[in-house]
Formats: sequence, structure tokens, C-alpha cells
Amino acid sequence: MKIRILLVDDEKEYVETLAERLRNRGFHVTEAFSGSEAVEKLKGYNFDVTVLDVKMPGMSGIETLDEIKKLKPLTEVLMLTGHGTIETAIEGMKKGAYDYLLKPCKMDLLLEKINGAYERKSEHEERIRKAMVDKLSTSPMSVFEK
Amino acid sequence: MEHNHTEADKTKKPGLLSNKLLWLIIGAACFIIIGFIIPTPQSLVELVEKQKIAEKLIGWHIAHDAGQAAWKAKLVLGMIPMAVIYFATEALPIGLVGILMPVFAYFFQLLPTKMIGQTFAGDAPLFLLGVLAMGVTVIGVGLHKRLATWILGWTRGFVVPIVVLCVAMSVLGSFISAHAMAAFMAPVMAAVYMGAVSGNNNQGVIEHDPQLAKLLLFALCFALNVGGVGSPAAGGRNVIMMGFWSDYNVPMSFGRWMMYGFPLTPVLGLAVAIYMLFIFRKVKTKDLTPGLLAIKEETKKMGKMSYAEKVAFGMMLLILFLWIVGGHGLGLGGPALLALVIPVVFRIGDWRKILGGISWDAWFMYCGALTLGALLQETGAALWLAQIFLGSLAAVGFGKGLGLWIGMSSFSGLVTNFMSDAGTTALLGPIAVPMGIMSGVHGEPWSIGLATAFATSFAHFLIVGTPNNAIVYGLGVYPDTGQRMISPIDFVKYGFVLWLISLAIVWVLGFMVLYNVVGFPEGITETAKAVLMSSPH
Repeated sequence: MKIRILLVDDEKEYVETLAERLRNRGFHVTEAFSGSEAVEKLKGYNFDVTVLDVKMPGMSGIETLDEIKKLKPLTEVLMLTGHGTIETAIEGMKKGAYDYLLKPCKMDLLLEKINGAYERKSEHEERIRKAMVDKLSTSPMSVFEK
Repeated sequence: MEHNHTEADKTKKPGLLSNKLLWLIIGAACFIIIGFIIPTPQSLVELVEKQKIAEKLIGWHIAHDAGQAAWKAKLVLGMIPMAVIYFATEALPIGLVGILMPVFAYFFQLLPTKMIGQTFAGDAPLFLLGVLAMGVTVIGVGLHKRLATWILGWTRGFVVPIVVLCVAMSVLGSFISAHAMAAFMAPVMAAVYMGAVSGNNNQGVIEHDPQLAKLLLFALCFALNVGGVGSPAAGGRNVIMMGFWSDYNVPMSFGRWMMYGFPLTPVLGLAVAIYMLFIFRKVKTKDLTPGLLAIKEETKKMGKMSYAEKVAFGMMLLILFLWIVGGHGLGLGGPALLALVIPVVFRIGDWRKILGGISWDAWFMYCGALTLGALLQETGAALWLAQIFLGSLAAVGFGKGLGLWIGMSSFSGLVTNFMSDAGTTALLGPIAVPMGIMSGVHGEPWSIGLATAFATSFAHFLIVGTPNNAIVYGLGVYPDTGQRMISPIDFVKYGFVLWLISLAIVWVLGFMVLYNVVGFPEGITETAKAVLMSSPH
């Protein structure tokens, strides 16, 4: 299955170029140009990895990260940051982001981080699946439990 | 894996079924009312006297007279509704319900202590222990994944993959834990689905085909369910039935079960495929080839067969071979125990991991079922119940032979949708076996036992009928939206007719053809009858 990526940045041209390059490499990419738009898109769709700019007008990167983790805790987040905002990226990682990347980032490095984030998400999902199966195997009725 | 729940889900209040304390009390109340409040039926007292069961219990020093012997039988009868309630509502863990059986047997002195212990240490419990351990190793080394990808990886198109999936899963389900297969295959089916519906589209939202999602998941689930008839290794319910036959001194061998059950599995699997393809004939996506690449990718990821997989595969074949040709000398437990020894000796499994992976809950439940079977048999409770049921069935023309098998299989097939398959066999087996014996038809009690056990594989129409259903429902989510692919009512919608079809296949191919072609050994009915009507041991 294709890795589903949500690209979030207010720099429209940057997002569109990056999205195209990622699509050419076989990823399923959705674009968002603000934190609030990203949150809306996340509500109806499961993304594997969100690539999120730290510095955005309106809802900030950190606020968006908080919302993402509230809505879809398993979605991994990669923070995109400039030299001046590394502190914010570190704060993001403390709040559950997978890693950060300095803008402008090299494609190879971005792919490596996206794959790493996806692997972590898959492992996490596998553990949840196993726990679910263990429970359902002995108690099918637990399928109705929240 | 991230599930989106609707508002209705979020605000849903726990139902009556989830009030475990209430059901715990109701179950206990049933036992107390039947055991201590309702007077002992005169017919039960007369039966224990006439059949010399009272004499036997007095000889064992667990009853003083016929009245007390009949009361002990009544206590056992009170355990049945209690167990039904606990199994159906999961008011207690199933293993604990199993443990309650010997606990009651000890504290109410329903059997001599030596006999109670024996129900936990016979050939059947050891067989099941080995089967569970084999499952741990096979799944631990990932052999089940390789088998599944070997079988499905070469298929292309639409009809062929569905037919191969159904037939292969039903055959595999005869030997390998269907739960484990469901757990592995449900996400694979989701990947096949996503591949098929998304095709080359890498932009925008995927247009879903819910009918295809349902087809893939239900085909998997139902095919695994019907595989349960194939061999005794398919599940604890079959092991329990084997244990009941042993109690009546007419044990059945592994190979013999396969002669009656295994030919049914490909036919049932094919029936599932045809039914699914018919019901979901209007699916939009009629080419699964892009999705099947997901399976190919899985195979690629696995690389070459590892040393551990080779040893596990060899172990499976060896144990299967010994089950079939080992005969009564080795029993079923002997070869099965190799599943505990071989992985450790050949260093493909860790002893503690094997112990940790065994479902002790299931094992205790099965052993408890054997205790209940012995209690019902030895106290005369089974004989009394069998006489009542047989009388009622005879009145409507289902008193013996085909009619009895159809009646019994319909009943156990119905009950198994509401509670665990093993629980169904555990409760109905001890009553069905004496019913068969009393009907006096050649081939009993094997034929009625098989009829009861076969039908417990058809828990198609309720989600809680078998863990396979619950697992497929739980793991069946659209990867992109997290919405569920199937709803609980879908099981009723698509499973009920298939339940009837499955039963009809067993009636026709099993009872009318295989029973006659394979036949039954001379004298088993007489041997079992001698045990049923036995004078004091």
C-alpha cells in the first residue's frame, strides 16, 4: 500500500513542488496550506505521516501538532523548521513528533525520515492489532467494547 | 488502524449483555434454584435406581441413597444453565468457567477425587495442549504467513482469487488456528482491497467499493469457519467430542475423523466462494490483480524459507503423520506433545515463549468441559436429559438416524452462534452422545457426535459466535478513513443463508454420502451402550 502523506505548509509553491516530487516516488500525497486546513483533512482521512511546517500564520505548527495527536495519535509527524525555529521543533518532538528536518531539506533525507516514521507507525499498529486479536480470541464479545 | 467512530458509537451506553455482575448473579441463581430449590424429579430418582447409578455413587462413597444420588445429578443439571449463561455473556473468563466444573465436583462431591483429576490429564487435554503449542510455534516463526502467500500469491483476476482464497482457507483452517489465520489475513485482505480500488490513482480521495470490501472479508471469515470440520486439530470443540467418545470406550482416531470431515472442507470452501460471488455479484471492481501485488510484496519481504520455518513445517508434517498412522498406541496426545519438545530441541522456539503463548484460558475451558461431560455421564444426568430430548424428537419424527443427526446439528449450529463453539460442544456433547446410543442406530455415538461437532463450525451469523468473526470485524477497517468495512448486522445479512447452506452440505454430503461410504466399525454402539447402562464400576 502507498504511504499516505499530508504536506502542511503555508508556502504554496513549496508544497506543490514537494508534493509532485513525492508523488513521482510512489507516495499518496495530500496538500494543506494551513494548520486548520490540515486538521480538517485529518478528520476524514488517515494519513501515515504528516510533514508539518513549524512556522505558519494562524494555527501554529505546535498547535496543529497538538490537534493531530488528539485526533489521530498514530499519525507520525515530521516537523519542518528553519534554523531560527529549532527550539520549536524540539518542543514538537517532546509532544510526540517523530523527528524534524531543516528547510530546505534534501530529498534523500526527507524520504529516509518519511520511511522511518512510517515504519514506526506500522510497528505501533502491529502491536495494537496483536493486543486486539489476543483479546478477541478469548472474548469475542469484547468487540463491542470501546 | 485508527478507527473513526460515529457519534452514536460514542454516546452508546453499555447494553444489558455487558453487565457482567448481573449475569454472574443470574447464572449462580439458576444453579441454586435448580440444585437446591426445585424438588428432585421422581423420574430422575427412578432412573438412578434402575440404572444402578445410585449403587455406583454409594460404592464411591459420594451418596448415601438413591435420593441423594439423584440430587447430585440435579446439581449437575443446574450447572448447565449456569455455564450457558457464563459462556454466552462472558460474565467470567471462559477458562474460569472451565475451572468451576472441577471446583463444583470437588466441593459437592459429585465424583471421586481421582476421577475429577483424570479429566484434566487424559489423552484429550494433552492433545489439545500440543495443538495449542504447535500453533504458537507455527505462528511464532511466521509459517502461516508463508503458507497463505504461497497459496494466494500466484492468482490473478477476480473469480480465481476468491475461489482459491475460500478453498485454501477452509483446508488450512482444518489444521492451523483459524484465529491466527484471520488475524494475519484480515489486514492482507484490506491491502488487496486498497490495491484493487486505488489502481494507479495516487491523487485525491479513493473511491471505495464497500461491496468488494465485504466480499473479501466475509469470504475469508466464512471459509475459515467451515474449515473447522476437517480434522480434530481444527479446534478444541473437536477435541472435546473425541474426549466424550473415549469416555464411552469408543475413541475415534485422528485419521478416522478426517475420513468423515476432511472431504467436506473443500466442498464447503467452494460453496462459500460461490455464495459470496453470487451475493456480491454487483461489485464495481472486478479485477483484484493490482491488489494481489500486496501479497507478492509480503512474499518478497519474507525472503527464503528460514531454518525455523523449515523445522516448524517438518514438525507439523511429522505430527500429522503420527496422528494419522500412530494408532491407539500413540494416542493423539503423544504426537501432539512433540510440539512442545521439537521447537526447543531444534532451537526454533523459546520454552518460556511457548508456555506464554499457549492459551491457558482455552485449555482450562476444554478440560472443564471434559469434567462436565464426566459429571453428566457418571451421575446419570446425561441419560435423563437424553431420554427427555429423545422422546420429544421421536414425537416429531427426529428420534433416530438421519432425523436425529439433522435435528442435533441444527440445534448445535444455532447455539454456536450465540456462544463459543467449544462451549456448545461441551454442553451438548454429553447429552447428544447418550441420545445417539439410545437410538440404537449402527454407527452411534460417532455419527451424532460428528453431527454435533461439525455444526459448531458454522457460527456465521452472529459476530460473537466465533473469534474469527470478531477478529475480521475488528481488523476490517478502511486504511485511509479508518471506517469499518463491515457492520455487525452484515453477519446476519450474509451469514444466515450460508449457515443453512453449510448445514445442508453436511446433511447431504456428510450424513447421506460419507457416513455410508466410510461406514462405521461394528460394535461401537454396543460398547458405548454397555458403558451408558453400566452397573457399578
